Amino acid sequence: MITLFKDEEIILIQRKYWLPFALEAIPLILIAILPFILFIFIETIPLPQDIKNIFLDYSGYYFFFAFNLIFIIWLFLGTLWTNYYLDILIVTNKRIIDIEQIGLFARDEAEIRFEKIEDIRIEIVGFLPSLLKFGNIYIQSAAENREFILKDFQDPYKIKDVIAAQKEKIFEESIKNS
Amino acid sequence: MDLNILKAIASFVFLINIILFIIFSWVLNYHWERYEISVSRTFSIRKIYFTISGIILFIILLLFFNLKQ
Repeated sequence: MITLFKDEEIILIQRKYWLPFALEAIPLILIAILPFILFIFIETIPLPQDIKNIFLDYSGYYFFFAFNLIFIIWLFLGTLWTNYYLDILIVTNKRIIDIEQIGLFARDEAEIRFEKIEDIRIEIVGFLPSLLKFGNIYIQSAAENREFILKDFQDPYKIKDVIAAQKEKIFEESIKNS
Repeated sequence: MDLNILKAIASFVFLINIILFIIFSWVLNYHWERYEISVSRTFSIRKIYFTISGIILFIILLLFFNLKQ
């Protein structure tokens, strides 16, 4: 997966918070169970009796198509989950690696070395992120003059502390060596 | 309602689902194998995915063979 340098050790591996994935998955699950709810309550729905009879007479076909819908949604859920699961943040003793799976056919891998980190900013916006403690981390890179964005990670303060501690350690080592 | 047309549509939908399943499974499997860190977890993911897919496909198959002619 990731090739580490010589003397490089992984300090932290963090996946994204599950809630954004769940918020995408719940509507799909609701769509999957909707045909079954419709069928259960068909008698109470104000529809002409002829249409209700078609539903009941062709219930075999109705359930066949309903299960096909479930199957397609299951495949999409698998894809959605894979996109969520393969988004990963790896902090080593030398660098930070952010891997983002974008759909099934695109993948973005970005890395920043501790020496190049200038500033770290945390952003937790909204009721749910504040309550459940997840948010974004913005790392300002001095050398490349660009911002490194880590989105929707759980406990960003902990990640920030790990990064800051490692940056400090590298800074002290460089003073000792010079 | 013409049952022959309905049955033909059902067969077509089933075929499309099988093709989608093969494509999705191949692509997802590739991703799990290539980018996952732990081998045991990849095995569990695969087991869950193929078990649930198998159950749904089995139900679809049963319903397909019991469709009104």
